[in-house]
Amino acid sequence: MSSIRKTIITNCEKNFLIKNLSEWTRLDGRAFNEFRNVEIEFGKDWGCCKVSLGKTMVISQVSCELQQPKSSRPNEGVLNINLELNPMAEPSFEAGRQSDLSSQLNRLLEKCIKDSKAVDLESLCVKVNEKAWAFRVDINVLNHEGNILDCASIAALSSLAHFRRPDVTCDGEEYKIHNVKQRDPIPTVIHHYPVCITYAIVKEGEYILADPTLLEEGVAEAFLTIGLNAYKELCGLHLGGNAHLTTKAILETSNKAAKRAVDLVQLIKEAVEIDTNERLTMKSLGFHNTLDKQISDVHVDELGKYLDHWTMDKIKRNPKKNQKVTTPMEETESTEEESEEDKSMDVSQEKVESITNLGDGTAKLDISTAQHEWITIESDEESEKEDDVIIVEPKVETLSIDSNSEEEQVLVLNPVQRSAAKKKKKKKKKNIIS
Amino acid sequence: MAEQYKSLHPAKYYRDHLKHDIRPDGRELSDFRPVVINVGSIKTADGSSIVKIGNTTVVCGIKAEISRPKADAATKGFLVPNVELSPVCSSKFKPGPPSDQAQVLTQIIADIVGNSQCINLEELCIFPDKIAWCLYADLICIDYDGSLIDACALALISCLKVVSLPEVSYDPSLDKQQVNLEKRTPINVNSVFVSTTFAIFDDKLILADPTVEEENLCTGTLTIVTCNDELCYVHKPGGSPLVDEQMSDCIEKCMNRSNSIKKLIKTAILENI
Amino acid sequence: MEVIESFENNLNLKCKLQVLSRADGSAMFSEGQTVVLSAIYGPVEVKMQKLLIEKASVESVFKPKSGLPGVSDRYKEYLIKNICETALASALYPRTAVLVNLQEMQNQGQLISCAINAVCLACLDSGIDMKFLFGAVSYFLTKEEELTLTPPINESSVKAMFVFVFNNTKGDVIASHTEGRFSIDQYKTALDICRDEVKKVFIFFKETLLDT
Repeated sequence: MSSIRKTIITNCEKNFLIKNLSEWTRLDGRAFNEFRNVEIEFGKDWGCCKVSLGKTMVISQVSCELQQPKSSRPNEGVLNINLELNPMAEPSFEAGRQSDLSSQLNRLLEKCIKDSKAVDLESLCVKVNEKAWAFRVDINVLNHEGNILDCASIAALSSLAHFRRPDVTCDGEEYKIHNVKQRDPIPTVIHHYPVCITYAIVKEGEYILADPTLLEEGVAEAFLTIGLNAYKELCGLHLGGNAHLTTKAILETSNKAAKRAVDLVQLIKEAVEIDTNERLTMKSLGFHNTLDKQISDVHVDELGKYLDHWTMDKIKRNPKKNQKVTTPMEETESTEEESEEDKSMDVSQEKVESITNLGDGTAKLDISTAQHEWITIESDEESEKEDDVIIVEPKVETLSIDSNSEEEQVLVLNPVQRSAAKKKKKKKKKNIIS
Repeated sequence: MAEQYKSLHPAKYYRDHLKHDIRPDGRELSDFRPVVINVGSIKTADGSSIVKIGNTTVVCGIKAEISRPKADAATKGFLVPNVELSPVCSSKFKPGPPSDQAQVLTQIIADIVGNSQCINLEELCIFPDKIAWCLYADLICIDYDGSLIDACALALISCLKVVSLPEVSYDPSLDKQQVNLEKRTPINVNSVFVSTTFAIFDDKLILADPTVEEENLCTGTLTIVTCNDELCYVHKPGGSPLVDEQMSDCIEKCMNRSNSIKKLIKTAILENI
Repeated sequence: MEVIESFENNLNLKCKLQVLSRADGSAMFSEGQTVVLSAIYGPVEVKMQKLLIEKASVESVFKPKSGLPGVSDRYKEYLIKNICETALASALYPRTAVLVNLQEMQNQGQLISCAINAVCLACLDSGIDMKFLFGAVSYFLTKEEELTLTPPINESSVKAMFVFVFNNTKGDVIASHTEGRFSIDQYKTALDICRDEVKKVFIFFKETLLDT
């Protein structure tokens, strides 16, 4: 049974991993400075992409909205990045709740992409102090196999590069947002692509592992995240956890990361370009095309035999037969029941609904003949004494419960008209008793 | 004795009753509980109603505010329903942010309103892209005894029938609005929706207008909303499967009930206008 | 009222199982151009306040692609949770939880039925015990009173939408969701056609499982 709490890494696993590292091997066979494969796939909508880094997978979507710009920056649009850790990726993540991890990852992403001014916010302004575009990047983590941050930063950049906002025009007062069909949507201006590259630091800086997996993340003492763009400019540096890293080690790692950054940015740019070109040729693109299996009509006939449970004939059963699910033994009983049912159906048709106006805007709907009430009669003996109480009446059913006890309660079902009379009698009876 | 029996074997208690085509509260299987509607008793709201179906009680109040229309729907006003399930109505609910059930109910009511198109939102717009009415419809449950969708829907529609809005004049060149509270006009309600809930007991019996006890013991529910002669919502959230005959039967009952409910609403609002 | 019946009305289903490594069962399912990813964890350890002593408690989470989850997503979660509670043999796993997670990937109008089908495939993939399979079909009524299986390209021309969920044992309706206004006859016609169509969905389920 898997746990909804965070998985604890056992000492055995930990020791095994470190032992392996001492022999310069990682569990998945990568070299220390080797990264997992990156795959970028675009959806049907502009600015939607799914990125997988090894088995870690995220989906990112950019959306936009016209807003009044912030008064402190009247000539700029807004960019918000929101990374969600879904329970889909790992059951210990809670939906819709900020955890330490999610706020840390969000801040790092923001620092790397937003604070390094990767997106030209001034171009998002439509009219100074009045209208500007607010961009929002939603990143949902689908599968957590370590190094969410790198995967998320690639996804955020690819979707931003891929996104196109609708054109907007303003005739004095009114703003008109043009449909994608009316006018071609506008791509976003991106100055540079700062990607996050994470290293796990194991055994006080002895081993520095690029792109750690989930298990490696669990064993690592600290993480070094480096934000870099294709021009080898540093856009963010974060060393979290407790490790003593020498400046020399940090510099060496940054140099290695810079090479990776160049490759990644090229990969993102190429992927976006290929997809945009294909879109121009009016191809239908999207996730639905990358799913390979498809049902064909030939198979429908062929596979008919597998539908052993499907019986259409049974659905169109005779309604009466449907009610009568009986063995021959019970048949007489069931017919009785049915006739009773029929009777009750007749009664229900005779029901009179009355709407009474109670004044002051109040009205009441009553179903008068249908009302029945349960009346409790103290015991059999007493009711026998009272000659005028009739228990057995036509259309009245008696249910006796637990007849062994002395104080017997009998429930009598009466139509409502009689109940008033009976209640009076009951009161009388009570008086006699008292 | 019956009380103990009921608390020890609730399901069997019900089964024993239902075997004789009667429910413990004296109703037959397809009977509805009495309905009481009161309108216009909350004077501080722009429209109000109180609905009682059996013991289930829902109060609806509509407050109109002037707001700015959305950029992509410049000629439309708003109608925002909100259902509140406070600890008052049942011990099941705790104070704090709206529970999942309250959120689901809010969505269902919003869906019903949207589907039925009972209000033309464009009529709520005062001046395109500048000002429009936003009607906040707060539905507060006071007593929770089953069939809550029915009660909420009925409270909302009877409330909409009596809502009146003050006259507003707007000068676009000065961007100024003037509200005349003296002169109020009612809003157009194009259609009346009536919701009816059924519960499925033991996979085969269908109980109309279930109480909360029945809802808890039942294996599924079905809510049908009619709007004039059409349907505008058929909601069955999982539970026991239904065969077509039962479904048609329920729709028919729902149609019959909607007529009497419509008459009821008419009677209730007669004096208010 | 005219019912369009042609081969272009094919449901166009596609699916990929085991797309996620962490989940016990997962499926990426597409219906037309709508794509939903679903993942099942279960039975797993349960939180104290959600513990049920006689059966497994089902929790469902639906995540929209953009923006924060809202009231309409709560409604989808509630619908899916109820369907799963009916279909899963939860009495076999007392004092546990089954987590059903859904992620919208692409929405072209058939989101609810696509999500429900994705959940069924993920359940099958995870190997959790079920009482029966469930399959959903969306059906659209256009403003011209035409009934069609494929969502109209122009969203504003939809007058009503139906989603029916059937079980595979008898073909009875487990769940029904509608949007818009329609007549009783239209509802019944849609129900009958969807019951026919859902057979293809179940065949597709079987084909998918046989292939893997």
